[in-house]
Amino acid sequence: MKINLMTTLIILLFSSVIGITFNFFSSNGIPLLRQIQTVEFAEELIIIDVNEEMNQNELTGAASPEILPTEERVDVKPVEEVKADETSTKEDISSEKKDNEIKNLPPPFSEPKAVTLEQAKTLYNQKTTFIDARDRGEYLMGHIKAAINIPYYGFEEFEYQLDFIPLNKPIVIYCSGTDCDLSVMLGNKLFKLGYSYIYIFFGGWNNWVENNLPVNGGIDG
Amino acid sequence: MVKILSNKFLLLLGRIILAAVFIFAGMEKIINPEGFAVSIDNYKLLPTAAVNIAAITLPWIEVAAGLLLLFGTAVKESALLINGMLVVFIAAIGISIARGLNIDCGCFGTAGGSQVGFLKLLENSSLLFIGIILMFFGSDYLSIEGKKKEN
Repeated sequence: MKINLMTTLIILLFSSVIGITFNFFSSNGIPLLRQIQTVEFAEELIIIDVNEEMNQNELTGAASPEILPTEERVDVKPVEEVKADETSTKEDISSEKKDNEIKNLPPPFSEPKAVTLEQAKTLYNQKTTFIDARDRGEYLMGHIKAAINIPYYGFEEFEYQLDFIPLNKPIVIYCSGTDCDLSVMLGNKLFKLGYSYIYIFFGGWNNWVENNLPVNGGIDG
Repeated sequence: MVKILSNKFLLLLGRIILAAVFIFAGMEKIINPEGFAVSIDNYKLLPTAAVNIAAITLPWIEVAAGLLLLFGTAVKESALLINGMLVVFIAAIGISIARGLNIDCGCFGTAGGSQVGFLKLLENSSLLFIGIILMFFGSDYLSIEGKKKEN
């Protein structure tokens, strides 16, 4: 086994220099030194008036996705309507802005915000939508009661559930616990899709269960 | 055993497999450096400041080593580099499993993202096995170095 270490070093250095040069000129380039990204904790919670939401749902015939069986959820919105929605996303966002003004909602977050267990409990009691970002298997083994499942991996398959969540509605996203990053990644994704009030519950499933809060276990809960 | 492992066709196959995996993985990471940086950061093994440097350079080392393996130039040296990277990947995945991290392995950038787990350990260990064989025996068959020797 005769290995030329100088050749190895040259390959290493040459490819690194190409990489740095390419990154410098690339439109997808990133800074050489990474800044620490932190998610700030929310000081005040955005809470939608539950009674108002329920009245609106009664008027429009819409229902919360959590209480609908999967098959019904798929059938609620015709394909044509979904396609129309896709083409008019910008209009939707502007109309959401108008809604914000009408409902006197605070300005949209500049980024997703973290919430503590206590804040998550408050949001839960106000029937805020909880999204479980873990994979389907983990969700089926147990999840926060009434939470819907939109796994970060396999997002496209479960994305349809977002059709039932208005852009100006607060959302709490969680995953396993402080060591998982799925909630942050899904939060960033939804934020880019136009959701204005994204909360990340870092304590996640583990923290929720430790405190004996309401959960669903098994496929049907 | 040595005869089987040093079979020129098997070594060529090993070269092609390693090259294909590393060129594909490297290209995916080059396309989306930020995504790869996030994946590295999630392992929480590197200082935050060093994450982007790794995300910028590592994919190019992968592609360079993969191309050299494919064309059969500096095979042992390329295999050494690939083995070094694989050892780091295996260690990172192992530590993450031990710490119970539920994160994207970042193995192929954003393409077909999958979580760290024992399957990833097995995949990387298999590649490391191929890399070690190539590092020991080299591979001249259908290679630029082989052609040079013939001439």
